[in-house]
Amino acid sequence: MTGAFGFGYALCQEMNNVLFNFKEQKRLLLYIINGISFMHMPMEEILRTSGDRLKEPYRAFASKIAERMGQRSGKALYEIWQDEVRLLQKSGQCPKAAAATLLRIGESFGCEGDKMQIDALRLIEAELADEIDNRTHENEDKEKLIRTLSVLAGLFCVVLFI
Amino acid sequence: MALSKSDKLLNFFPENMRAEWERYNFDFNDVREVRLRVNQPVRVLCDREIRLAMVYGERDMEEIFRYLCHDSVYAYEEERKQGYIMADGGHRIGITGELAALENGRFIAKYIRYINIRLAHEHKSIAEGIIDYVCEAGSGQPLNTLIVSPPGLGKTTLLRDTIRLLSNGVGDFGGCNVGVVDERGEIAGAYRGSALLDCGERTDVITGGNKRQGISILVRTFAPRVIAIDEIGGEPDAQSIFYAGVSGCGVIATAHGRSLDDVKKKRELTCLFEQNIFKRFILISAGSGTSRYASIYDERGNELCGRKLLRAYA
Repeated sequence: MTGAFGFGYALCQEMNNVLFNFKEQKRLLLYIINGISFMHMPMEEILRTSGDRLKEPYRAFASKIAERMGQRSGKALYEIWQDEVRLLQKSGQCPKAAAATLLRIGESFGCEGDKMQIDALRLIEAELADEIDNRTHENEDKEKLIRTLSVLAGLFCVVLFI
Repeated sequence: MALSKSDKLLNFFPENMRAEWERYNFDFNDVREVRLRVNQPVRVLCDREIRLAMVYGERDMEEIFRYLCHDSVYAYEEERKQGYIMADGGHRIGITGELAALENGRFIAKYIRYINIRLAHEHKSIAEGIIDYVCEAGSGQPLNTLIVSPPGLGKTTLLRDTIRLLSNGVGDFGGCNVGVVDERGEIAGAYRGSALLDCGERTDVITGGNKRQGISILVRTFAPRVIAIDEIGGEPDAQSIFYAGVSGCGVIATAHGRSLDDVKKKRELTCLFEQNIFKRFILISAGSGTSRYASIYDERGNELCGRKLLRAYA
C-alpha cells in the first residue's frame, strides 16, 4: 500500500515540478520586462539582478548567462541561452515542456526597440499564464484521481495478500 | 586569465569573425580607430592607416552592431539616435547608414552600414606641461580653459589628464573637487555610470543627460571648483557654460576647430567670447606620427607658450 501511495505521490510531484518551472519562468519574464520598460537596462544587467530573486535552478541559470555575456566571448545571447537550457535539461532540473518555453524566450531576444522587445516577451508571458492556469486545474483533478487510485491499488494489494 | 594585447580588440566582434582578427594580431594600444564600411575592406588606423583583406556584408554589419549592443539594442536607443554607442572602456562607436525620421524630428540609423570604432586610450601625465598655465599664479584657482583641435588629435585625452591632475593635485596645487559632465561617456570611459578611466580622486562624473542638466546638478549639489565638459558646440552648451562660469566654478571645455579663429567664428559660442569667459586657450596640433603639440594663449590671444610637446611619437 505504501509503495502504491508513494508512486502516486511521485507522479503528483512530477506534475507540480512542471508547474513550478512554468511559474519561475513567468517570474523571470516579468523581471526582464520590468528591467527593459522601467530601467532600460541591457539584458546582462537584467539577468544578473533578476537571478538573485529567482529560485533554483533559474537563479543559477540567469546568473550564469549574465556572467557569460560579461565575458564577451563572442557568442550571441541566444547561443548562450540555448547552451544553458541544454545544460539545465541534461541536469534533469528542467522538464521537456518547460525547456521548450525557455528556448522560445531565448529566441525572442534581439528586437530593435524596447516596445517591440517587450511585446515579444509579453506574448510568451501570456501563453505561460494560460499554461499555468490550465495545468493548475488539470493538476488538481489529476492529483485527486492519482491519490484515490493509488490508495485503491494499495488496498487491492492488501486484500489480495490477505 | 589576463587578456593579451590583441584580445581587447576581439571583444568588439562576434565569435565567427574573431579568427580573422586574431591573424592580424594588432596591439590594442597602437590602434586608434577601426573603420568598418559595408562591402569595403576594413581599415585600421594606427600611426598609419592599414587596409585589411576583410570585407563585411550587410548582415555582418548588423551582427556586429547587435553584438556591440550586448544583444540589447533597445537599451542603446537614445545613444543610437545621436549616432553612436558607448562600449565598456569608454570607446565610442560611431554608427550610421540609412536614417529614418522619428516623430520628434530626430533621426535614427535604420540600416547600420558604417561603423567607426574609436578606441579610448589613457595617456597619463601629458597635461603636466600645461597645468601651470591652466591655474592662476598665486591663488592656484583653475582658470576657464578651452581646448581646441580638429577631430582625432586628442582633445578628450588631454582634458581627461587635466581633470586628473586638477583633482589629485600636482606640485604646489593640492587638488580640488572636479565635476565632469560626460554626455557620451568618453571623458571618463564611463560604462553603466562608473568611470573606468582615471579622472582623479576628487572627481564626480555625470554620464548621459545633457550638459545643461549635468552642470545644474553639479553646481547645486556637488560644489565643484572646476567643471569639465567635452565638445561644446551648440547655444545651449554656451548658456550652460556661462551659467557655470557665473556660479563661481571654473570651466574646462573642448571644441572642434583648426584654430582659435575657427572657434570664435561659431555663432552659438559668441556670448562666451564676448563675455571673456575663457581665460586660456590650448590649441592642439599634430606632429609626425602620433606626436602632439600644444600652444597656449590667453583671452586676448597672446601666446603664452608656443608648441609644447604633449606626446612623443610612439
